[in-house]
Amino acid sequence: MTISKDLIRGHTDTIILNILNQGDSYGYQVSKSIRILSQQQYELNEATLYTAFRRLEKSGDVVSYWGDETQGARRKYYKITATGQQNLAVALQDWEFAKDIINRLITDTIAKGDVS
Amino acid sequence: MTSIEMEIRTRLDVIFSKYKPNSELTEFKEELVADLMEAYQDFAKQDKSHDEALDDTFDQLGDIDTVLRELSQKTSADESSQGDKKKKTPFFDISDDGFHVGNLHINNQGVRLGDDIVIDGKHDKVQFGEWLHVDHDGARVGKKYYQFNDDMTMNHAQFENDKNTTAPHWATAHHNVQIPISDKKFIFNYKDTAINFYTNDKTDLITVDEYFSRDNARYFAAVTEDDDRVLISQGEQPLLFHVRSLINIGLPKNFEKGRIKILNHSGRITAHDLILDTFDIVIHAGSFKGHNLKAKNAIWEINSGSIQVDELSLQGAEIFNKSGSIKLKNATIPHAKISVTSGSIQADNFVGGGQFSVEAGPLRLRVSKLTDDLKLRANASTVRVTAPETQDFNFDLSVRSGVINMERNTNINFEKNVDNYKRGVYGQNPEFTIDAAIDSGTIKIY
Repeated sequence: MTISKDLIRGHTDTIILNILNQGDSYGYQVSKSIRILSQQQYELNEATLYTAFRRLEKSGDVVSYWGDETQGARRKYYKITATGQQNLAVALQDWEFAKDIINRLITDTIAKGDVS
Repeated sequence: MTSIEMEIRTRLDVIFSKYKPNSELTEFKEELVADLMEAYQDFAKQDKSHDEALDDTFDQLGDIDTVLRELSQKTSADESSQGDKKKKTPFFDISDDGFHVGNLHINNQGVRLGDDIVIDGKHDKVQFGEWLHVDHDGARVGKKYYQFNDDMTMNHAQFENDKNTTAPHWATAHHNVQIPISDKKFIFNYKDTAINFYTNDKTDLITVDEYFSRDNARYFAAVTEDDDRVLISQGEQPLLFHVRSLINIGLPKNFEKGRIKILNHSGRITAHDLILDTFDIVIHAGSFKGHNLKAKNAIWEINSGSIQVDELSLQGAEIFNKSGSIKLKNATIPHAKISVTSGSIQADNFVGGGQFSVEAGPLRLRVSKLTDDLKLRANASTVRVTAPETQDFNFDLSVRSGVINMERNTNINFEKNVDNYKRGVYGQNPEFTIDAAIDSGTIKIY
Protein backbone atom coordinates (compact mmCIF):
# COMPACT_ATOMS: atom_id res chain seq x y z
CA MET A 1 0.00 0.00 0.00
CA THR A 2 1.36 3.38 -0.92
CA ILE A 3 -0.05 6.80 -0.30
CA SER A 4 -1.81 8.00 -3.40
CA LYS A 5 -0.25 10.84 -5.35
CA ASP A 6 -3.60 12.57 -5.56
CA LEU A 7 -3.90 12.64 -1.80
CA ILE A 8 -0.50 14.11 -1.08
CA ARG A 9 -0.04 16.36 -4.09
CA GLY A 10 -1.45 19.51 -2.48
CA HIS A 11 0.89 19.12 0.47
CA THR A 12 4.24 18.85 -1.28
CA ASP A 13 5.19 22.47 -0.62
CA THR A 14 4.16 22.29 3.04
CA ILE A 15 6.17 19.11 3.51
CA ILE A 16 9.28 20.76 2.09
CA LEU A 17 8.74 23.93 4.10
CA ASN A 18 8.36 21.89 7.27
CA ILE A 19 11.70 20.21 6.63
CA LEU A 20 13.48 23.45 5.77
CA ASN A 21 11.97 25.10 8.83
CA GLN A 22 14.09 22.71 10.89
CA GLY A 23 17.28 23.78 9.17
CA ASP A 24 18.74 24.55 5.77
CA SER A 25 18.97 21.54 3.53
CA TYR A 26 19.66 20.37 -0.02
CA GLY A 27 17.83 18.13 -2.49
CA TYR A 28 19.12 14.71 -1.63
CA GLN A 29 18.90 15.34 2.10
CA VAL A 30 15.32 16.60 1.80
CA SER A 31 14.28 13.50 -0.11
CA LYS A 32 15.95 11.38 2.56
CA SER A 33 14.19 13.33 5.33
CA ILE A 34 10.86 12.70 3.61
CA ARG A 35 11.57 9.00 3.54
CA ILE A 36 12.49 9.01 7.22
CA LEU A 37 9.56 11.20 8.34
CA SER A 38 7.12 8.93 6.49
CA GLN A 39 8.78 5.85 7.97
CA GLN A 40 9.69 4.63 4.48
CA GLN A 41 6.06 4.81 3.39
CA TYR A 42 6.45 7.72 1.03
CA GLU A 43 9.09 8.66 -1.48
CA LEU A 44 8.89 11.97 -3.24
CA ASN A 45 9.80 11.74 -6.88
CA GLU A 46 13.00 13.73 -7.49
CA ALA A 47 11.55 15.59 -10.43
CA THR A 48 8.66 16.76 -8.24
CA LEU A 49 11.10 17.83 -5.54
CA TYR A 50 13.29 19.96 -7.82
CA THR A 51 10.22 21.48 -9.45
CA ALA A 52 8.85 22.37 -6.02
CA PHE A 53 12.15 23.99 -5.00
CA ARG A 54 11.97 26.22 -8.04
CA ARG A 55 8.33 27.07 -7.41
CA LEU A 56 9.02 27.92 -3.76
CA GLU A 57 12.00 30.03 -4.70
CA LYS A 58 9.95 31.97 -7.21
CA SER A 59 7.18 32.62 -4.69
CA GLY A 60 9.73 33.83 -2.15
CA ASP A 61 9.14 31.04 0.36
CA VAL A 62 12.74 29.86 0.15
CA VAL A 63 16.08 31.21 -0.98
CA SER A 64 19.02 29.18 -2.15
CA TYR A 65 22.75 29.51 -1.71
CA TRP A 66 25.79 27.45 -2.60
CA GLY A 67 27.58 25.59 0.17
CA ASP A 68 31.29 25.90 0.70
CA GLU A 69 32.19 22.21 0.65
CA THR A 70 35.93 21.94 0.47
CA GLN A 71 35.89 18.60 -1.30
CA GLY A 72 33.52 17.24 -3.87
CA ALA A 73 30.89 19.25 -5.69
CA ARG A 74 29.24 22.21 -4.01
CA ARG A 75 25.75 21.65 -2.71
CA LYS A 76 22.86 23.94 -3.33
CA TYR A 77 21.17 24.68 -0.03
CA TYR A 78 17.67 25.96 0.48
CA LYS A 79 16.67 28.21 3.35
CA ILE A 80 13.17 29.07 4.43
CA THR A 81 12.35 32.80 4.43
CA ALA A 82 10.09 34.73 6.80
CA THR A 83 7.38 34.57 4.11
CA GLY A 84 7.91 30.82 3.91
CA GLN A 85 7.52 30.48 7.65
CA GLN A 86 4.31 32.49 7.56
CA ASN A 87 2.95 30.38 4.74
CA LEU A 88 3.91 27.23 6.59
CA ALA A 89 2.02 28.42 9.66
CA VAL A 90 -1.03 29.20 7.53
CA ALA A 91 -0.84 25.82 5.81
CA LEU A 92 -0.67 24.11 9.19
CA GLN A 93 -3.74 25.99 10.43
CA ASP A 94 -5.59 25.08 7.25
CA TRP A 95 -4.67 21.47 7.71
CA GLU A 96 -5.65 21.36 11.39
CA PHE A 97 -9.00 22.79 10.47
CA ALA A 98 -9.56 20.56 7.46
CA LYS A 99 -8.34 17.21 8.69
CA ASP A 100 -11.07 16.55 11.26
CA ILE A 101 -13.80 17.70 8.94
CA ILE A 102 -12.51 15.61 6.04
CA ASN A 103 -12.15 12.65 8.35
CA ARG A 104 -15.75 13.05 9.48
CA LEU A 105 -16.96 13.55 5.94
CA ILE A 106 -15.43 10.36 4.64
CA THR A 107 -16.02 8.03 7.58
CA ASP A 108 -19.05 9.10 9.62
CA THR A 109 -22.56 7.88 9.02
CA ILE A 110 -25.54 10.15 9.36
CA ALA A 111 -27.46 9.24 12.49
CA LYS A 112 -31.21 9.59 12.65
CA GLY A 113 -32.06 13.01 13.93
CA ASP A 114 -29.01 14.66 12.41
CA VAL A 115 -30.98 15.67 9.38
CA SER A 116 -34.26 17.37 9.84
CA MET B 1 37.69 16.07 -9.69
CA THR B 2 37.15 12.50 -8.62
CA SER B 3 36.36 9.83 -11.17
CA ILE B 4 32.87 9.42 -9.70
CA GLU B 5 32.15 13.09 -10.16
CA MET B 6 33.46 12.87 -13.70
CA GLU B 7 31.19 9.95 -14.51
CA ILE B 8 28.16 11.60 -12.96
CA ARG B 9 28.87 14.72 -15.00
CA THR B 10 29.26 12.71 -18.17
CA ARG B 11 25.93 10.98 -17.65
CA LEU B 12 24.21 14.24 -16.86
CA ASP B 13 25.69 15.75 -20.02
CA VAL B 14 23.91 13.09 -22.02
CA ILE B 15 20.58 13.82 -20.33
CA PHE B 16 21.01 17.58 -20.63
CA SER B 17 22.22 17.49 -24.23
CA LYS B 18 18.66 17.40 -25.54
CA TYR B 19 18.01 20.88 -24.23
CA LYS B 20 19.26 24.25 -25.28
CA PRO B 21 21.74 25.35 -22.63
CA ASN B 22 21.04 28.33 -20.41
CA SER B 23 22.22 29.50 -17.02
CA GLU B 24 19.30 27.91 -15.16
CA LEU B 25 20.10 24.51 -16.64
CA THR B 26 23.78 24.87 -15.81
CA GLU B 27 22.93 25.75 -12.25
CA PHE B 28 20.55 22.82 -11.98
CA LYS B 29 23.24 20.49 -13.29
CA GLU B 30 25.63 21.67 -10.58
CA GLU B 31 22.96 21.07 -7.96
CA LEU B 32 22.36 17.56 -9.27
CA VAL B 33 26.07 16.67 -9.30
CA ALA B 34 26.34 17.20 -5.54
CA ASP B 35 23.08 15.45 -4.77
CA LEU B 36 23.86 12.49 -7.00
CA MET B 37 27.33 12.09 -5.57
CA GLU B 38 25.84 11.69 -2.15
CA ALA B 39 23.20 9.28 -3.45
CA TYR B 40 26.02 7.32 -5.04
CA GLN B 41 27.83 7.07 -1.69
CA ASP B 42 24.68 5.61 -0.16
CA PHE B 43 24.20 3.04 -2.90
CA ALA B 44 27.87 2.14 -2.76
CA LYS B 45 27.33 0.90 0.79
CA GLN B 46 24.77 -1.61 -0.43
CA ASP B 47 25.90 -2.41 -3.96
CA LYS B 48 29.11 -4.25 -4.64
CA SER B 49 30.48 -2.47 -7.61
CA HIS B 50 31.02 1.05 -8.73
CA ASP B 51 28.91 0.82 -11.88
CA GLU B 52 26.08 -0.91 -10.12
CA ALA B 53 25.86 1.91 -7.59
CA LEU B 54 26.06 4.48 -10.37
CA ASP B 55 23.26 2.83 -12.33
CA ASP B 56 21.09 2.65 -9.22
CA THR B 57 21.78 6.30 -8.50
CA PHE B 58 20.47 7.35 -11.87
CA ASP B 59 17.56 4.92 -11.64
CA GLN B 60 16.53 6.63 -8.44
CA LEU B 61 16.81 10.06 -9.98
CA GLY B 62 14.09 8.99 -12.36
CA ASP B 63 12.73 11.11 -15.11
CA ILE B 64 13.80 14.72 -14.79
CA ASP B 65 12.86 15.63 -18.34
CA THR B 66 9.85 17.62 -17.18
CA VAL B 67 12.08 19.82 -15.01
CA LEU B 68 14.61 20.23 -17.78
CA ARG B 69 11.98 21.11 -20.31
CA GLU B 70 10.56 23.72 -17.99
CA LEU B 71 13.95 25.25 -17.25
CA SER B 72 15.04 25.31 -20.87
CA GLN B 73 11.81 26.96 -21.94
CA LYS B 74 11.90 29.51 -19.19
CA THR B 75 14.43 31.77 -20.86
CA SER B 76 12.94 31.51 -24.31
CA ALA B 77 9.56 32.48 -22.85
CA ASP B 78 11.14 35.28 -20.86
CA GLU B 79 12.73 36.65 -23.97
CA SER B 80 9.55 36.80 -26.00
CA SER B 81 6.82 37.68 -23.53
CA GLN B 82 7.58 38.35 -19.93
CA GLY B 83 6.00 36.32 -17.18
CA ASP B 84 4.11 34.11 -19.57
CA LYS B 85 3.99 30.75 -17.87
CA LYS B 86 2.37 28.88 -20.75
CA LYS B 87 4.75 26.70 -22.67
CA LYS B 88 5.20 27.73 -26.26
CA THR B 89 4.97 24.67 -28.43
CA PRO B 90 4.65 24.53 -32.18
CA PHE B 91 1.31 23.54 -33.63
CA PHE B 92 2.69 20.39 -35.16
CA ASP B 93 5.58 18.59 -33.56
CA ILE B 94 7.05 15.10 -33.72
CA SER B 95 10.02 14.28 -31.53
CA ASP B 96 11.31 11.68 -29.08
CA ASP B 97 8.91 13.20 -26.59
CA GLY B 98 5.89 12.30 -28.65
CA PHE B 99 3.52 13.59 -31.21
CA HIS B 100 1.59 16.83 -30.92
CA VAL B 101 -0.94 18.51 -33.17
CA GLY B 102 -2.53 21.57 -31.63
CA ASN B 103 -3.88 20.39 -28.32
CA LEU B 104 -3.73 16.69 -29.19
CA HIS B 105 -0.74 15.15 -27.46
CA ILE B 106 0.39 11.56 -27.84
CA ASN B 107 3.46 10.48 -25.92
CA ASN B 108 4.67 7.63 -23.75
CA GLN B 109 2.38 8.79 -20.96
CA GLY B 110 -0.74 8.40 -22.97
CA VAL B 111 -3.13 10.41 -25.07
CA ARG B 112 -4.52 13.83 -24.25
CA LEU B 113 -6.84 16.10 -26.18
CA GLY B 114 -6.89 19.42 -24.40
CA ASP B 115 -7.88 18.69 -20.84
CA ASP B 116 -11.10 16.99 -21.80
CA ILE B 117 -10.15 13.61 -23.17
CA VAL B 118 -7.27 11.90 -21.46
CA ILE B 119 -5.91 8.40 -21.66
CA ASP B 120 -3.08 8.30 -19.20
CA GLY B 121 -1.12 5.07 -19.42
CA LYS B 122 1.35 6.03 -16.75
CA HIS B 123 -1.22 6.56 -14.05
CA ASP B 124 -3.80 4.19 -15.52
CA LYS B 125 -6.39 6.87 -15.90
CA VAL B 126 -9.07 7.43 -18.47
CA GLN B 127 -11.15 10.57 -18.59
CA PHE B 128 -13.71 11.97 -20.98
CA GLY B 129 -14.56 15.52 -20.08
CA GLU B 130 -16.50 15.91 -16.89
CA TRP B 131 -18.66 12.94 -17.66
CA LEU B 132 -16.42 9.89 -17.20
CA HIS B 133 -13.40 9.40 -14.96
CA VAL B 134 -11.81 6.02 -14.35
CA ASP B 135 -8.68 5.34 -12.34
CA HIS B 136 -7.33 2.85 -9.81
CA ASP B 137 -9.69 3.94 -7.08
CA GLY B 138 -12.93 3.93 -8.91
CA ALA B 139 -15.06 5.17 -11.72
CA ARG B 140 -17.26 8.21 -11.91
CA VAL B 141 -19.92 8.35 -14.55
CA GLY B 142 -21.90 11.57 -14.52
CA LYS B 143 -22.66 12.10 -10.87
CA LYS B 144 -22.44 8.47 -9.79
CA TYR B 145 -19.25 7.22 -8.20
CA TYR B 146 -18.30 3.55 -8.16
CA GLN B 147 -15.45 2.67 -5.89
CA PHE B 148 -13.34 -0.30 -6.92
CA ASN B 149 -12.82 -3.09 -4.44
CA ASP B 150 -9.68 -1.76 -2.96
CA ASP B 151 -10.43 -1.94 0.66
CA MET B 152 -8.49 0.11 3.16
CA THR B 153 -8.09 -2.86 5.50
CA MET B 154 -5.93 -4.47 2.83
CA ASN B 155 -2.89 -2.49 3.71
CA HIS B 156 0.51 -3.63 4.74
CA ALA B 157 -0.35 -3.55 8.42
CA GLN B 158 -2.55 -6.52 7.80
CA PHE B 159 0.48 -8.62 7.03
CA GLU B 160 1.68 -8.11 10.56
CA ASN B 161 -1.73 -8.46 12.09
CA ASP B 162 -3.78 -11.49 11.08
CA LYS B 163 -6.64 -10.47 13.29
CA ASN B 164 -7.63 -7.84 10.83
CA THR B 165 -9.92 -10.36 9.19
CA THR B 166 -12.97 -8.86 10.80
CA ALA B 167 -15.96 -7.40 9.02
CA PRO B 168 -15.32 -4.19 7.10
CA HIS B 169 -17.35 -1.19 8.25
CA TRP B 170 -19.45 -1.05 5.08
CA ALA B 171 -20.61 -4.65 5.29
CA THR B 172 -24.33 -5.25 5.76
CA ALA B 173 -24.24 -8.95 4.96
CA HIS B 174 -21.91 -11.70 6.11
CA HIS B 175 -21.86 -15.20 4.69
CA ASN B 176 -19.71 -17.91 6.22
CA VAL B 177 -18.88 -21.31 4.73
CA GLN B 178 -16.71 -23.98 6.26
CA ILE B 179 -15.30 -26.70 4.08
CA PRO B 180 -13.45 -29.73 5.43
CA ILE B 181 -10.03 -30.18 3.88
CA SER B 182 -9.22 -33.15 1.66
CA ASP B 183 -6.67 -33.98 -0.99
CA LYS B 184 -8.99 -32.65 -3.67
CA LYS B 185 -8.10 -29.46 -5.43
CA PHE B 186 -9.92 -26.41 -4.07
CA ILE B 187 -10.86 -23.94 -6.76
CA PHE B 188 -12.15 -20.51 -5.85
CA ASN B 189 -13.81 -18.88 -8.80
CA TYR B 190 -14.53 -15.20 -8.34
CA LYS B 191 -15.21 -12.60 -10.95
CA ASP B 192 -14.69 -9.30 -9.35
CA THR B 193 -13.87 -8.84 -5.69
CA ALA B 194 -11.16 -8.36 -3.07
CA ILE B 195 -9.79 -11.62 -1.70
CA ASN B 196 -7.53 -12.19 1.25
CA PHE B 197 -5.90 -15.52 2.14
CA TYR B 198 -4.63 -16.14 5.65
CA THR B 199 -4.07 -19.02 8.06
CA ASN B 200 -7.03 -19.59 10.37
CA ASP B 201 -7.06 -21.27 13.77
CA LYS B 202 -8.74 -24.46 12.57
CA THR B 203 -7.04 -27.80 12.07
CA ASP B 204 -9.03 -29.24 9.20
CA LEU B 205 -11.44 -26.58 7.95
CA ILE B 206 -11.22 -23.99 5.23
CA THR B 207 -13.23 -20.96 6.26
CA VAL B 208 -14.71 -18.58 3.75
CA ASP B 209 -16.10 -15.31 5.04
CA GLU B 210 -17.86 -13.18 2.49
CA TYR B 211 -18.88 -9.60 3.20
CA PHE B 212 -21.21 -7.56 1.03
CA SER B 213 -22.34 -3.97 1.06
CA ARG B 214 -25.92 -5.08 0.36
CA ASP B 215 -27.79 -8.04 1.74
CA ASN B 216 -29.06 -10.56 -0.74
CA ALA B 217 -28.57 -14.33 -0.49
CA ARG B 218 -28.12 -14.51 -4.23
CA TYR B 219 -24.70 -12.87 -3.85
CA PHE B 220 -23.37 -15.68 -1.66
CA ALA B 221 -20.92 -18.22 -3.04
CA ALA B 222 -21.98 -21.75 -3.88
CA VAL B 223 -19.93 -24.85 -3.16
CA THR B 224 -20.01 -27.85 -5.46
CA GLU B 225 -17.89 -30.95 -5.27
CA ASP B 226 -17.00 -33.81 -7.56
CA ASP B 227 -14.48 -36.65 -7.45
CA ASP B 228 -11.34 -34.61 -7.69
CA ARG B 229 -12.19 -31.03 -6.91
CA VAL B 230 -14.18 -28.69 -4.73
CA LEU B 231 -15.43 -25.62 -6.52
CA ILE B 232 -16.37 -22.46 -4.67
CA SER B 233 -17.94 -20.02 -7.06
CA GLN B 234 -19.04 -16.48 -6.57
CA GLY B 235 -22.74 -15.83 -6.33
CA GLU B 236 -24.66 -13.57 -8.60
CA GLN B 237 -23.43 -10.11 -9.30
CA PRO B 238 -26.00 -7.49 -10.11
CA LEU B 239 -25.22 -5.83 -13.39
CA LEU B 240 -26.70 -2.48 -12.68
CA PHE B 241 -25.75 -1.61 -9.14
CA HIS B 242 -22.36 -2.43 -7.87
CA VAL B 243 -22.12 -4.47 -4.68
CA ARG B 244 -18.97 -4.07 -2.75
CA SER B 245 -17.51 -7.31 -1.44
CA LEU B 246 -14.58 -8.69 0.47
CA ILE B 247 -13.73 -12.36 0.81
CA ASN B 248 -11.53 -13.64 3.62
CA ILE B 249 -10.35 -17.19 3.01
CA GLY B 250 -8.79 -18.93 6.00
CA LEU B 251 -6.71 -22.02 5.39
CA PRO B 252 -5.99 -24.38 8.29
CA LYS B 253 -2.55 -24.79 9.76
CA ASN B 254 -0.66 -27.85 8.59
CA PHE B 255 -2.23 -27.79 5.15
CA GLU B 256 1.06 -28.60 3.42
CA LYS B 257 -0.74 -30.93 1.06
CA GLY B 258 -3.33 -28.38 0.17
CA ARG B 259 -3.90 -27.56 -3.45
CA ILE B 260 -5.52 -24.18 -3.99
CA LYS B 261 -6.41 -22.35 -7.14
CA ILE B 262 -7.91 -18.90 -7.15
CA LEU B 263 -9.49 -17.10 -10.08
CA ASN B 264 -10.44 -13.48 -9.89
CA HIS B 265 -11.39 -11.64 -12.98
CA SER B 266 -10.61 -8.21 -11.66
CA GLY B 267 -9.80 -7.06 -8.21
CA ARG B 268 -7.17 -7.59 -5.66
CA ILE B 269 -5.78 -10.71 -4.02
CA THR B 270 -3.59 -10.70 -0.96
CA ALA B 271 -2.10 -13.70 0.81
CA HIS B 272 0.13 -14.08 3.81
CA ASP B 273 1.68 -16.78 5.96
CA LEU B 274 0.68 -19.81 3.89
CA ILE B 275 2.33 -23.20 3.47
CA LEU B 276 0.75 -25.23 0.69
CA ASP B 277 1.45 -27.83 -1.93
CA THR B 278 -0.01 -25.87 -4.80
CA PHE B 279 -1.04 -22.23 -4.96
CA ASP B 280 -2.26 -21.18 -8.39
CA ILE B 281 -3.55 -17.73 -9.23
CA VAL B 282 -5.36 -16.40 -12.27
CA ILE B 283 -6.19 -12.69 -12.42
CA HIS B 284 -7.42 -10.89 -15.46
CA ALA B 285 -6.87 -7.34 -14.28
CA GLY B 286 -5.77 -6.56 -10.79
CA SER B 287 -3.03 -7.21 -8.37
CA PHE B 288 -1.57 -9.88 -6.18
CA LYS B 289 0.35 -9.03 -3.06
CA GLY B 290 1.87 -11.68 -0.83
CA HIS B 291 4.02 -12.06 2.20
CA ASN B 292 5.65 -15.18 3.64
CA LEU B 293 4.38 -17.80 1.20
CA LYS B 294 5.66 -21.30 0.67
CA ALA B 295 4.49 -23.87 -1.88
CA LYS B 296 5.80 -26.72 -3.97
CA ASN B 297 4.12 -25.54 -7.13
CA ALA B 298 2.72 -22.26 -8.24
CA ILE B 299 1.35 -21.04 -11.52
CA TRP B 300 0.44 -17.37 -11.50
CA GLU B 301 -1.14 -15.79 -14.50
CA ILE B 302 -2.03 -12.13 -14.68
CA ASN B 303 -3.23 -10.43 -17.76
CA SER B 304 -2.64 -6.92 -16.59
CA GLY B 305 -1.68 -5.84 -13.15
CA SER B 306 1.06 -6.27 -10.63
CA ILE B 307 2.58 -9.01 -8.53
CA GLN B 308 4.47 -8.10 -5.41
CA VAL B 309 5.72 -10.71 -2.95
CA ASP B 310 8.15 -10.59 -0.06
CA GLU B 311 9.51 -13.79 1.48
CA LEU B 312 8.60 -16.41 -1.02
CA SER B 313 9.68 -19.98 -1.34
CA LEU B 314 8.47 -22.00 -4.31
CA GLN B 315 9.90 -25.26 -5.58
CA GLY B 316 8.71 -24.67 -9.08
CA ALA B 317 7.06 -21.51 -10.24
CA GLU B 318 5.60 -20.25 -13.47
CA ILE B 319 4.69 -16.61 -13.30
CA PHE B 320 3.28 -14.74 -16.27
CA ASN B 321 2.22 -11.15 -16.43
CA LYS B 322 1.13 -9.82 -19.75
CA SER B 323 1.41 -6.17 -18.90
CA GLY B 324 2.51 -4.96 -15.54
CA SER B 325 5.22 -5.58 -13.03
CA ILE B 326 6.59 -8.48 -11.04
CA LYS B 327 8.46 -7.60 -7.90
CA LEU B 328 9.94 -10.30 -5.69
CA LYS B 329 11.95 -9.83 -2.54
CA ASN B 330 13.73 -12.53 -0.58
CA ALA B 331 12.57 -15.23 -2.98
CA THR B 332 13.85 -18.77 -3.20
CA ILE B 333 12.81 -20.42 -6.44
CA PRO B 334 15.05 -23.27 -7.66
CA HIS B 335 13.17 -23.64 -10.91
CA ALA B 336 11.64 -20.35 -11.92
CA LYS B 337 9.93 -19.51 -15.12
CA ILE B 338 8.98 -15.87 -14.99
CA SER B 339 7.88 -13.76 -17.89
CA VAL B 340 6.41 -10.37 -18.61
CA THR B 341 5.33 -9.20 -22.00
CA SER B 342 5.46 -5.50 -21.38
CA GLY B 343 6.43 -4.34 -17.95
CA SER B 344 9.19 -4.95 -15.50
CA ILE B 345 10.67 -7.77 -13.45
CA GLN B 346 12.63 -7.12 -10.32
CA ALA B 347 13.94 -9.71 -7.88
CA ASP B 348 16.01 -8.79 -4.84
CA ASN B 349 17.89 -11.30 -2.75
CA PHE B 350 17.00 -14.07 -5.16
CA VAL B 351 18.14 -17.64 -4.53
CA GLY B 352 17.62 -20.15 -7.32
CA GLY B 353 17.72 -20.26 -11.07
CA GLY B 354 15.56 -20.65 -14.11
CA GLN B 355 14.27 -18.55 -16.88
CA PHE B 356 13.28 -14.89 -16.89
CA SER B 357 11.96 -13.20 -19.96
CA VAL B 358 10.60 -9.81 -20.89
CA GLU B 359 9.38 -8.61 -24.21
CA ALA B 360 9.85 -4.93 -23.44
CA GLY B 361 10.84 -3.48 -20.12
CA PRO B 362 13.60 -3.66 -17.56
CA LEU B 363 14.81 -6.81 -15.82
CA ARG B 364 16.75 -6.32 -12.60
CA LEU B 365 17.98 -9.28 -10.55
CA ARG B 366 20.03 -9.23 -7.41
CA VAL B 367 21.06 -12.85 -7.04
CA SER B 368 22.35 -14.03 -3.68
CA LYS B 369 22.88 -17.61 -4.73
CA LEU B 370 22.53 -19.62 -7.90
CA THR B 371 21.20 -23.16 -7.55
CA ASP B 372 20.65 -23.64 -11.27
CA ASP B 373 21.46 -21.98 -14.58
CA LEU B 374 19.98 -18.58 -15.18
CA LYS B 375 18.52 -17.95 -18.57
CA LEU B 376 17.50 -14.41 -19.40
CA ARG B 377 15.69 -13.47 -22.55
CA ALA B 378 14.45 -10.09 -23.69
CA ASN B 379 13.48 -8.26 -26.78
CA ALA B 380 14.05 -4.62 -25.98
CA SER B 381 15.29 -4.21 -22.48
CA THR B 382 17.90 -3.33 -19.95
CA VAL B 383 18.97 -6.49 -18.19
CA ARG B 384 20.93 -5.89 -15.03
CA VAL B 385 22.11 -8.78 -12.87
CA THR B 386 24.07 -8.67 -9.66
CA ALA B 387 25.75 -12.05 -9.58
CA PRO B 388 26.40 -13.79 -6.26
CA GLU B 389 29.40 -12.46 -4.42
CA THR B 390 31.20 -15.65 -3.60
CA GLN B 391 30.00 -18.02 -6.28
CA ASP B 392 31.87 -18.79 -9.49
CA PHE B 393 29.85 -18.92 -12.71
CA ASN B 394 29.98 -19.26 -16.46
CA PHE B 395 28.54 -16.51 -18.55
CA ASP B 396 27.24 -16.33 -22.06
CA LEU B 397 25.90 -12.91 -23.03
CA SER B 398 24.73 -11.66 -26.37
CA VAL B 399 22.98 -8.59 -27.72
CA ARG B 400 21.95 -8.15 -31.32
CA SER B 401 22.13 -4.40 -31.12
CA GLY B 402 23.32 -2.76 -27.97
CA VAL B 403 26.03 -3.18 -25.41
CA ILE B 404 27.21 -5.73 -22.88
CA ASN B 405 29.06 -4.76 -19.76
CA MET B 406 30.77 -7.35 -17.65
CA GLU B 407 31.60 -5.29 -14.63
CA ARG B 408 33.96 -7.72 -12.98
CA ASN B 409 37.62 -7.24 -13.76
CA THR B 410 39.56 -9.79 -11.81
CA ASN B 411 39.28 -13.54 -11.84
CA ILE B 412 37.64 -13.49 -15.21
CA ASN B 413 38.50 -15.46 -18.34
CA PHE B 414 36.93 -14.62 -21.65
CA GLU B 415 36.57 -17.25 -24.33
CA LYS B 416 35.00 -14.70 -26.55
CA ASN B 417 34.96 -10.99 -25.89
CA VAL B 418 33.50 -8.69 -28.49
CA ASP B 419 31.10 -5.79 -28.11
CA ASN B 420 27.89 -7.74 -28.54
CA TYR B 421 28.98 -11.19 -27.45
CA LYS B 422 30.81 -12.20 -24.33
CA ARG B 423 31.37 -15.71 -23.10
CA GLY B 424 33.65 -17.00 -20.38
CA VAL B 425 34.15 -17.96 -16.79
CA TYR B 426 34.22 -16.04 -13.57
CA GLY B 427 36.31 -17.79 -10.91
CA GLN B 428 37.76 -21.29 -10.95
CA ASN B 429 34.91 -23.70 -10.30
CA PRO B 430 31.76 -22.56 -12.00
CA GLU B 431 28.76 -24.76 -11.46
CA PHE B 432 26.08 -22.73 -13.21
CA THR B 433 25.78 -20.41 -16.17
CA ILE B 434 24.28 -16.96 -16.50
CA ASP B 435 23.00 -16.94 -20.02
CA ALA B 436 21.49 -13.72 -21.32
CA ALA B 437 20.41 -12.96 -24.84
CA ILE B 438 18.53 -9.86 -25.87
CA ASP B 439 17.63 -8.30 -29.13
CA SER B 440 18.26 -4.66 -28.38
CA GLY B 441 19.32 -2.94 -25.23
CA THR B 442 21.89 -3.37 -22.53
CA ILE B 443 23.14 -6.30 -20.48
CA LYS B 444 25.07 -5.60 -17.35
CA ILE B 445 26.50 -8.14 -14.96
CA TYR B 446 27.87 -6.83 -11.70
